[in-house]
Amino acid sequence: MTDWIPVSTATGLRRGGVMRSFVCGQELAIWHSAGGAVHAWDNRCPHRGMRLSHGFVRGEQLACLYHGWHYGADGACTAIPAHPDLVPPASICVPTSPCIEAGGFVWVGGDPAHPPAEIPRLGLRSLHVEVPLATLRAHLGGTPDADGLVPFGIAAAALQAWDDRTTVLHLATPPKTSTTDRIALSRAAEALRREVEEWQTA
Amino acid sequence: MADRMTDLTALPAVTLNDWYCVAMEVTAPDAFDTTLLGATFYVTRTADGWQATRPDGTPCRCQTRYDHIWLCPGTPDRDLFALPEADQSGRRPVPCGAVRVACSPLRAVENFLDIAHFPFVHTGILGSEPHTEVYRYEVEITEGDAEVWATKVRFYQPQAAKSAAGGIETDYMYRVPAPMVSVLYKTCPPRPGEWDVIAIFVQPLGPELCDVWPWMSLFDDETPQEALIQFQQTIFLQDRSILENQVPRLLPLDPRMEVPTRADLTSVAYRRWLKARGATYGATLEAL
Ligand code: FES
Ligand SMILES: [Fe+2]
Repeated sequence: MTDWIPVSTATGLRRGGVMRSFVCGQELAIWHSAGGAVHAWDNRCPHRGMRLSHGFVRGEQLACLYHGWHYGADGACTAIPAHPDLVPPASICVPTSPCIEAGGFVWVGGDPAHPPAEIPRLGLRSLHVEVPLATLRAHLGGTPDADGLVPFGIAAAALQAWDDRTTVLHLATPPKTSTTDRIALSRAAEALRREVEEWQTA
Repeated sequence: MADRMTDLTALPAVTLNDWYCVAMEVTAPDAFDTTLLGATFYVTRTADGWQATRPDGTPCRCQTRYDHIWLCPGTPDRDLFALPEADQSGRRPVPCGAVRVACSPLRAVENFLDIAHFPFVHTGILGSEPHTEVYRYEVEITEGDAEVWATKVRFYQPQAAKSAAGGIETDYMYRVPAPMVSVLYKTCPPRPGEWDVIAIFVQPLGPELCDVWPWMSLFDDETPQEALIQFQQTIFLQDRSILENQVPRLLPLDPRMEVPTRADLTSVAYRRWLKARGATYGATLEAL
C-alpha cells in the first residue's frame, strides 16, 4: 500500500514547467526546477492569492506571475522584487507537499522514506476521465502493484483522483516500446475513456 | 448570473445607495437590461434623458457623467464623485468600453491601485525587470473617511507613452473616490505639470463578476482614438489573466489572509477603508 498519488507522467512535466493539478479536490501547483527537482505546492501565493501554477521557474525557484515574489525549494519566500534590499521574513511561506519522480511518473503526498519503485518507464499520456476513481479502477481490472499501478496492455496505468467526479489516467510504457505500440495503447486508452464515460452516463 | 429575484433590500445601505456605471453613453442602445448587484435593471432613453427601473418595476435614479450612464439602485445618499479634470479644456475623453472579468469588483479596483505588478504583468509596457523597486510613497484617507489617496508614487516605465523613446521614471497619484471606482493621475510627457487621468468604473454584476469600464482623459491630440483604446484593452486583458486567477475570488478583508509589504500600502488602506464603511459587497471577512 502506498500514499503516493500520481499527478503526471515524468515526461508530461517539462523542466522549467509548472502545472495546475488537483488531488482529491485540493488544488496544487506542480513544478519542475531547472536542475530536475519536482515540487508540489498549494496553488496560492501568500501575497495576494495568485495561482502559482501561472508562475515561472527561475533555476531552483518558482516565481509568482503577479508581483514576481520568488520561493525556494522549501516554499519559503526568497525575494520580493518591489523591495530588492529586503530579506523576506521567514513567515512568508507556501505550504508544500512531498513530491517525487519515480518509475516514469510524478507522485505527490507520500512518505519520502518510502518512494515508489524505480522502474524505467517512458510517459505516454494523461487523460482526464469523467468518472470517479473507483469506477475507472473497476473498468481497468487487474491487480494493483505496491504503488497502486495496474497493467494496461504492456503499459502501466496510474490513477489520480482529481475530484470525486474526475479521474486522471496516467500511462507510461517500458522504455523500448515501439512507436506503433505506443500509438495503439494511446488509442486503446481513448476507447476505454469513451466506454467508461458512456457506461457512467447510461 | 442575473437573478431577477435578488433581494436588493438585503444589501447594506452603503452599497445600495451608491452610484454604479452601467453603460457607455455612445454605445448604449435606446433600451437595455443591465445586471447590477445580482439584479436586473431596465434602462431607457427618454425625451428627459435616461431613466431606470428596478427589477420590481419601481423607478430609480440615473444620470450621465464622464461619458457613461450611472445608476443608483437605492436612494442616493451622496453625489456621484467629482472629477474636475473631466471639464478642463484641452483634454480629450476616451471611454474604452467594458472588459468583463470573473473576479470581485473590489479585486479589480485593488489591482488598478497596484504598481508592483507592472514589470511582471505589463512587461515592456508599464514596467520591466530589473526596475522592480517600489519607492516609498504616501497614502492617506481624506477627511471624514471620504477617499483613499496615494501620492508621490514613482515607478520606472520602459515606454511611458507612444511618443516617449526609452524608459523614464513616471509619477503617479491614485485615488479611490468610491468603492468601485479608481482614478489614476499620471505624468503627461508632452505637458509637464499636467496629469493624464485614467480611471476605471467597475460595474458589479455579482460579488465575483464585474464589467470594468476604463475611461481616460488625456492631453493627446495626435494618437487616434482607436489606438488609445487598443492600448488600454491590451493592458486590461493582461490584468484579467491575473484577476481571474486570484484565490479566493472575493477580496479578503481579514488581514491574516494575505501578506502585504510596504509596496501595498494603498491596498492596505483601501481594504481598511472598505471595512470601516461596511462596503463589503465583493469581500470576504473570513479566513480561507
Ligand atoms: S500575488 Fe504572488 S507575488 Fe503578489
Ligand atoms: Fe495592471
